[in-house]
Amino acid sequence: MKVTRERLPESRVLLDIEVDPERLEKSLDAAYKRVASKAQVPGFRPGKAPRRVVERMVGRESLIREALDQLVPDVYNEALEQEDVHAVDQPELEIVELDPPHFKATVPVLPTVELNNYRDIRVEREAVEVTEEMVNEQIEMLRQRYATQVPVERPVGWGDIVIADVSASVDDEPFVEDNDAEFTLREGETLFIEGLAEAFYGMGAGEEKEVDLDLPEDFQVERLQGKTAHFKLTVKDVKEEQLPELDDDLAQEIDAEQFPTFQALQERVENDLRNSLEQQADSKLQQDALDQMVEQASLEYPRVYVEREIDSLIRENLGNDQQQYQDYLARIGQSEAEYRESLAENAESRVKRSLVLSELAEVENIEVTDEEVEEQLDKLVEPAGEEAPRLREMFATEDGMATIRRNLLSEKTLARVREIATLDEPAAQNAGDGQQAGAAGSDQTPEKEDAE
Amino acid sequence: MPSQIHPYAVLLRPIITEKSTVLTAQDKYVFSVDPRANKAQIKEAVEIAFNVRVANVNTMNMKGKPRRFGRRVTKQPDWKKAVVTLVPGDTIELFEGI
Repeated sequence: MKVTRERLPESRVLLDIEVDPERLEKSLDAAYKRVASKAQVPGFRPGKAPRRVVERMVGRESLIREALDQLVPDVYNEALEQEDVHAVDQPELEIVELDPPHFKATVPVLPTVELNNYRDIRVEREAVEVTEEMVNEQIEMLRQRYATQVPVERPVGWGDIVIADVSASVDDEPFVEDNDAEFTLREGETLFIEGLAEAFYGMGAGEEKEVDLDLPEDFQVERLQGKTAHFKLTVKDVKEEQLPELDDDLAQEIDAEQFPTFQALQERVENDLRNSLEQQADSKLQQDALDQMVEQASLEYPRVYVEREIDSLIRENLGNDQQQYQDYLARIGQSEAEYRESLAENAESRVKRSLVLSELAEVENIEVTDEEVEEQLDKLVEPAGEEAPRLREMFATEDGMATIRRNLLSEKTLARVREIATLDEPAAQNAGDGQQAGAAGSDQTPEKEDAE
Repeated sequence: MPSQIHPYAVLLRPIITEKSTVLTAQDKYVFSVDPRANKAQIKEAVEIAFNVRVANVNTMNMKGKPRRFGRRVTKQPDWKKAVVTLVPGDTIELFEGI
């Protein structure tokens, strides 16, 4: 067997494989045995015809083709082993010659990732600022949530809450009967039908009123469309929404233990805001740094990675249901190919990021210990209280542990990305190291010492 | 039948069947021959055509098989089968050029 390998772009390898004639002869024998049992040769019972006869019947070429069905996968696998090629998907095969067999296999292989000068990447962290306005906005929202409804002795105004009996009829035929209905009157908002809200406006508690209102042409009950309805309104109660004072009482109502004073509440709101902004800044920093690393890295990966990522994107978006998928395609009016194409860009950037991250984890020697996994597991089940031990058992499967480990690893790696991007030392000082890291590329062992 | 006859006029075709394949192990080769040819002529024809030495010739007249076309029964032509034994060591490449 003669094998030559050639590196192709998009992380593919072309294997040019020539099979020895002796090897072919052996597999021809095997192929003959398979064919003979099926072949109908006059003068012979099935399976009894000698090889020469069968070969003449079916022709040497088709016998070779039969043999190749078995021979090619065998030889191909041997070639992979011999050339130390790590295939990640099925090869594309092209048969150049039959006798002796000579074929070309184009096979996607593991991606190559070079991070280059990733240690030089610096990203400015966005400054976090919590303004008074932002705090006030949050407090105003709290205030509205704790608003109280207070009965008032005055005509109904906009923004008031009305409790009333409403009945309506068309040509003496009643079609609405609603007692003790509670609703808020808002200016410019239509209540049930146009004009009804305005009719309530200005009524006092205990007052009654009768109005005629036109039902619209597109009214939900068809036979009443366009008719005039006679409404009887009885207002029972008028309430006003009162916003609580911004004082210690409000703070204590929200949580007396945590917020004894209004100031405590204010501080808490400010802290929460700051934390969430800090987190946003962190994740933005991390995202930007990672984006830059991706940009700087030299990546080569097979197309099939993107295809697989598209598959998993589709699964994330639409679930595994094939029918649902087809329905969705029909709804957005795209063919499957078009839809996949529209996801390709997103998928590609996800592939790049994950490649860079896993390479980074390796180069930077980031590892997750068993203890860390156990710790994380404890943290996960903690909120379950008494149920925790049982829950823990459920998670402690091999798969579950592996998932936790993966998540921890990517968390740690992302943390390292942030660390690198915010290193204090100037980038130039690091350039030497970075250069070396780039050159080491495939062979990371010497680089690791530099990284320490 | 004239005594001098071209070998290809005597030998019509080789019989290649499971049975004849088994017989080649005993240096015996089976032919369909002109029914008018005698053993001596068959021997001479085989020796000339394949450049081998013939040790023995056995012949038999075969009845043609009946064939039925609707109600009419016909018969395939009768033929003569010859089993030719070669001198040990000589062989005929039966499949060559056929």
